[in-house]
Amino acid sequence: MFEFDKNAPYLLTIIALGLLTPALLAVYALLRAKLSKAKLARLKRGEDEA
Amino acid sequence: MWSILANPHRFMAFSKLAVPITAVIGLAFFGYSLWQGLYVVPTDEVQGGDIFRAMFVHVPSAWICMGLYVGLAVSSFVWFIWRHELADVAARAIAPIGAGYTALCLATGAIWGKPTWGTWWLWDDARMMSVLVLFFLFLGYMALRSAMETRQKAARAGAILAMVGVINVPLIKFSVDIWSSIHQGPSVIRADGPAMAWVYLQPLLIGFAGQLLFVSALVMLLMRAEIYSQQADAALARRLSEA
Repeated sequence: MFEFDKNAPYLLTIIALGLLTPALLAVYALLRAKLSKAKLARLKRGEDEA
Repeated sequence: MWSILANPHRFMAFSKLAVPITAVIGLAFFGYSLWQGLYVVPTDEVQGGDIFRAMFVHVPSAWICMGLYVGLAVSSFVWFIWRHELADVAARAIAPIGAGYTALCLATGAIWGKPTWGTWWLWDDARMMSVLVLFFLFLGYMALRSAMETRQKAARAGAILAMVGVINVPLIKFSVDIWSSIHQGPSVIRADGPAMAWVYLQPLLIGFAGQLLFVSALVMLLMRAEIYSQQADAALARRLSEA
């Protein structure tokens, strides 16, 4: 697959971090959006029932 | 366009479509840039062989984290002057993404530095230290906000810190010109044009555009989360006042 020179471990670590960081930030943003939306929906349901 | 989107309801309608579109286009651009950077572009022996390919991750992350801080400062300024709530929502959303990208920039820079300069880190290097300061500014912004009792106080304290801290952005950019640094000088944004060959510059710029679009999607997503959260707080307050 990849055939790089002696610095391949450094390069591959950088690439891995470059993929992992945006992925983790995306998971964080998605979770926050999902949890906030669920909390709002729960409260609105409670208001409607009251 | 900005005045239209400044309405939270219109922003929610716009971002519902814009988030997936910008995220997918951004990822496609970033994927193309990485494929070009890892497989297609020739090795640059002057830049230390294959390790120069780290540029396609490190350089966009550096530009993005500086851009995000400018976004944080501008949003804070808009809130501070006009008290526009959506500007504060944007500032809150930018901070964690900015901290993440600054951490990525610092980590990839350190890893690139070891085979290139023989060291992970230099405490007296102006470029490295100014980016570290940027990281602490993002963290400090979030910590300061969460230490405040009310949303208004948090927005005010955060805005002041963000506006004062923006002075660090030109310091990062010009640090390699002003002070002696192990870091190489500017090779893309220069008065007499880019020093980099187009074969490298093209995928680099496409990668930057991709990351920018992806980050915009994340910021909009966090803004949506913040707006939902504020609406939930308002609903909870209504419930408590009725009880």
